[in-house]
Amino acid sequence: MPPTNAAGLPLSRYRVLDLTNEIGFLCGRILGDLGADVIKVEPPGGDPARNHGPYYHDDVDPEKSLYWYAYNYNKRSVTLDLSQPPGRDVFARLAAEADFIVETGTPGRMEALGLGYEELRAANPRLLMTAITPFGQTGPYHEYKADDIVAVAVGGLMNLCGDEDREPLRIGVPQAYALAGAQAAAGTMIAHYQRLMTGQGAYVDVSMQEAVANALPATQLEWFVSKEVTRRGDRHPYGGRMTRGTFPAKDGFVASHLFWGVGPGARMKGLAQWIKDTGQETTIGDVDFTKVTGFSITQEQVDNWEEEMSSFFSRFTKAEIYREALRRRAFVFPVSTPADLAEDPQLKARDFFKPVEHPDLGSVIDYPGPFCGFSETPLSIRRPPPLIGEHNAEIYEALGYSRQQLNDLKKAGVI
Amino acid sequence: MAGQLPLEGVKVADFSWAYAGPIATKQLAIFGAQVVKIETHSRPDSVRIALPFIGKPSRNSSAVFGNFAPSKLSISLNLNMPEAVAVARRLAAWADVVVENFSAGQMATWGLDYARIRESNPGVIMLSSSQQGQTGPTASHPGLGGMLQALAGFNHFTGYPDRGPRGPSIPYPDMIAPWFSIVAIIAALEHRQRTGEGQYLDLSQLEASLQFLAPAVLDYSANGRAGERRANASDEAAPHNAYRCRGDDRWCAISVRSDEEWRAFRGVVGDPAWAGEPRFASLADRIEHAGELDELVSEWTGEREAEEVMRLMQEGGVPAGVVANGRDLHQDPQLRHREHFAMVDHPRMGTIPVDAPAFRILGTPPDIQPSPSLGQHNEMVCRELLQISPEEYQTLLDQGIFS
Repeated sequence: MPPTNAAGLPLSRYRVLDLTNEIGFLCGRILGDLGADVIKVEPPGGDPARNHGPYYHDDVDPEKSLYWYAYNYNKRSVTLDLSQPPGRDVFARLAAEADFIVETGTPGRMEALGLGYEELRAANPRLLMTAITPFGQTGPYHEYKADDIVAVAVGGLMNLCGDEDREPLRIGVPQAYALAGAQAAAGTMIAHYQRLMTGQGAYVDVSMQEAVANALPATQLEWFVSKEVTRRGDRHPYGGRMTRGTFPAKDGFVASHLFWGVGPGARMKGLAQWIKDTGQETTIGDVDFTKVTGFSITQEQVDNWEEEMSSFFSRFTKAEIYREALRRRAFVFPVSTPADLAEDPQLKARDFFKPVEHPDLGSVIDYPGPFCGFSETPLSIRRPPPLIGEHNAEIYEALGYSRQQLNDLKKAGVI
Repeated sequence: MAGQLPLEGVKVADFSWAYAGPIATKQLAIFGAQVVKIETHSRPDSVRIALPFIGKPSRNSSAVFGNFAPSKLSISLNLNMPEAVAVARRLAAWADVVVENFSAGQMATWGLDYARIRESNPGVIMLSSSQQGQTGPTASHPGLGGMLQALAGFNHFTGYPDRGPRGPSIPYPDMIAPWFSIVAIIAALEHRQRTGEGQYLDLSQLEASLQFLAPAVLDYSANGRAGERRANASDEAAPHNAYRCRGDDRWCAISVRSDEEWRAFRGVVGDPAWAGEPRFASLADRIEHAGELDELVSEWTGEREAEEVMRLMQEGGVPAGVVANGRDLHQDPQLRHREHFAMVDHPRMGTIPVDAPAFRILGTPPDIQPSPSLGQHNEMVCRELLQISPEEYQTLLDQGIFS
């Protein structure tokens, strides 16, 4: 395991109070990855977001949520009951020394507790507070609720996914939460840079709905410009025809695509030569796709070429196809399963997956590695996700509470 | 009156094109960084020619470009000419941050790789955002964002059980990478401020994407579970789906997790007899009979407008939302309240809606200016930013390096 010491990392001078559930905990983790001392402030019993699966060995236990693990390493944990006045006093002391607060309470909750940005800033003008909610702090929907499926719906991503004759689809692993957390981190860093220049803190109001809307390159413009509503579908418009993006292989699926036109048509060369070399009867191998336009071909021709690709790919396994595609620089990729990713040659060569020791489980779990390579300040997983309140003693004692005081707080159910 | 913007004074030489790079530099530009987009006439940024156009199709009338290049400056350099490459190198020497997202290795062919930029600009921060990173056996393998989406595994988890894998019809990894790029750049700026040291940022869009699939990676590592396509089914909620509503292709997503939400849901739908049946009594029961439940819910939603379903559910305390298309996004009362679409007056396109970021820094709104035409700032960039003399600029013009 790499050292837990964050010295030398860009944010190693800062402390973050992380009061987030699933819609924001990636934000806190990113700050932690960059070296900040992130303290997860959980209610006694733990962050309710610990109750999301999948779980380690399917053991439904808030300290065994793999979902929670994935976004809460590089953090320490304290428990604190903010609904009790003594808990709020402890929090105010933590906040007075903190540099960042990231929170996902319903709009107005922190203010109702007397812990709103204005109050906390009075004691700590440098404080930067980021609030992540489904729809933002104000506006007609600010009290509305959204989990992942609702957020990908109202943000527009869901309408781009699925078949025309069936219901729209969500991506099977929650995306709205991750989009919100990552964009909150970007906004937080921009506000942080401003603080470096001015010494002044800021309040950052993040909407999960907008985070999803920002993942769509052209949907809103297609409506604005031509009053066209983009339809989802297995096939999508390309160069005046409808094309598909996935094809069956022997042991799963691969992603590929037909290309035509002056520039893109050249992308067919690798695949066309490959089909020829295997001796399969081919029309793709004999076409110069740089000379093809959407107008010069019928949909039936497109269908026939795709049928040919389909029967070609179905002769091979995904691994065989990808190996050969790499050699020939053909535009073909596997539709990876997690098992494929674990064996992916590129991720292996870059040593991407990181084993993380979980002493409480007596087990080692492989995690995705850093989100970006930093040549001078490389990021790492410095500490595993914390147990509930694992760091109560060390953090509260450092804050000046005596053992006796902590025992009293514990008896009162505050920590 | 806007005050000082957060990133004022940060100088960015932006060699990036298509989506992943430009979406990142868009946020830097609207928050005050001086972003110079280095482009070329012979091979225009693919987004400059992306549909839809406003008015006559041209390199200066793509609404998509308008959305992704606001507040940027544009210089057109014909990088086939050594004199143009020399100007590009001067921009790299001028910059605090160099951003690019070409295939790995392309920048080196112009002598614009990190090692060489650093010779003239020792503290430079350079971010390369590529499909699979700068090193490793597949670093230069060609592909599109939609294909990388499959490689990362999004499609494996998405689709109907009885059909093949599906995924959103967008280059989704390109929409993920920018947020990590921004974070990395600003973190590197802070490190430089403290130490004087620049650095190279190697962002693999595949690795960034896997942050968004991390729970599934852990599920495989810890439990050996590879996951599958389950349409909209959930282990934690039922109803949990998009439900057909009145009208053509109208849908509303509804999600009911706790017993409390189930009681609220029953109240909203008028507590019909079926809702009280034992097969729907507990969350586990509802999940087990999710298919039957979906049919009953669809009967109720099918008689109502999607907007009405959303409103009734939300007012009753049940998470629900219209499956928004482009029209819905523009008409959404909440997005309107947030002024999510900043209406920008563009000299060629007229008014165009530019997506605002999901974050509002209170008291510091972004400054969203129209996207530049190709080469609009050639003279300004050369004369003011690079301090090129009028005579030398004339020579560059005569050589045709801006063509």
